[in-house]
Amino acid sequence: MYEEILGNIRTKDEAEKLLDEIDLLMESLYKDHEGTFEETLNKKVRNWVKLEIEKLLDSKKDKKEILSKLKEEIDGLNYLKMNMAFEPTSAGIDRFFGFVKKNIGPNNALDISYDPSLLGGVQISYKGEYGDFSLRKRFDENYSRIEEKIDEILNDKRRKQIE
Amino acid sequence: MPIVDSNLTTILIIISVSFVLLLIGVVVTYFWLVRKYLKLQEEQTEKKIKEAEQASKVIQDAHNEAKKILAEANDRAQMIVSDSKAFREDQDASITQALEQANQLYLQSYREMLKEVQSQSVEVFQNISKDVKGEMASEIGEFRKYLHQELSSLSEGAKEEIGKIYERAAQEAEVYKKARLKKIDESIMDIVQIVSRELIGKELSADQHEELVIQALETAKKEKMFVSDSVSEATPKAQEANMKSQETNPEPESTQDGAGNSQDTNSNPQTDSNPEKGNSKSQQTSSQSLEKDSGQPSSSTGQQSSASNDNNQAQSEKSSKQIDSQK
Repeated sequence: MYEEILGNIRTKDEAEKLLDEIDLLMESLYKDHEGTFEETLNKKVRNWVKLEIEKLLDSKKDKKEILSKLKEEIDGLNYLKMNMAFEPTSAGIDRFFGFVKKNIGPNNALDISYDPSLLGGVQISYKGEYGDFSLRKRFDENYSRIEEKIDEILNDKRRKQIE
Repeated sequence: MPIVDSNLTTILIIISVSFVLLLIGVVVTYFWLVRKYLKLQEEQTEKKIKEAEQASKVIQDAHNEAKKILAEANDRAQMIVSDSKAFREDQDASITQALEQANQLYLQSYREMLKEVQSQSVEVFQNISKDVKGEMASEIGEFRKYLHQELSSLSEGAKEEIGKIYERAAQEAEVYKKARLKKIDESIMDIVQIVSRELIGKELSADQHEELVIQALETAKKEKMFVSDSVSEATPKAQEANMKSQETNPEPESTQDGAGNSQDTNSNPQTDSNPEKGNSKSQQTSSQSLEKDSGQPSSSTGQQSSASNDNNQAQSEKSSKQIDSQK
């Protein structure tokens, strides 16, 4: 019932925005004159949200119940936390979200954060699991070898200078 | 009235005539007096001239007289002086003679005395010099020996001291050199690290970044990070806490204690409800904790799919090539 609307939520930010809109709609349920439910649905909610909610309301159930359930469903979403070195484009988010949908399943969304010090790659956290796939980690792991190499070069140079 | 007038006129005429006469009398007397005054003045001047002439005559006479007296006095004084000169010459001659005689006498007696004293002192000195010579010679010998010893001991001590100082300085120089070299090495390493990081970060395009992320997701999938729908259902808060801790301490070594006690923080009862998956999951979790503890990749992380590893390797190689080309 809610899969379609939930399937449009790609990120945590989007989920929060949608929750705000649902809150607005729920508040409007108790208003008679100013900002009635229909008015709020038409004027204060994004179009695709409006269409999806209208579809949900076709089932003639109680509006409040449907909206509360939708809120619960959104609250129950799992988030794949992704800490990245760059700010992804919308197309990039689509790619990541597509991967998540395909490989992890529905009811999942992305929680994206940005940390340039990672250099590249991503740090992932999902349901208590953590994986660091950043270039920083790889760089740090391999840096000892680079250091050794530089040491060698420096020592060679010094030896030559002394000679 | 006319009578009065005529009387008056006559009186006036008489008065005026008398005035005129009086005036004439006055003028005449004035001229007479002036003449007399001039005459008297002339007489006075003549008198003064005469007196002055007389006075000058008297002075001249007195002057002449004084000259005469002076000449006489001079003559007399000259005579006296010439007399006294002769006397003095006589006196001088006698005095010098007496003095010469006395002088000669004294000289003679002094010479004699000097000769005596000289002969005596030579004798005394000859005796003294012999004694002192002996003593001095022995003392100088001892002193020379002492000096020799002191000098040799001093030179040895100085040599040792200089050697020690030299060694110490050499050691200090060596330590300083090592410290400086270490610092230089460290700063070079830091620079290399910063530059490499910056280059890697800058050289990746957005597409490459996204590709890296997709590769990472694939790797995570192969590591079965996403199998956990029915496994350890961590609460969002726990997730967040874990993520935050990882974000604040990205270096695995620094986040864990030596015992690696952090792997169970996110485990929950659902893990127990599915033993198979729970085990595999807990293994993975513990292995990851181990990785965090040791700072080395665990077996499962080490086995991070070779494909993704290759990709990442290729990526890092590419980055290092870019760094090389930048260099």
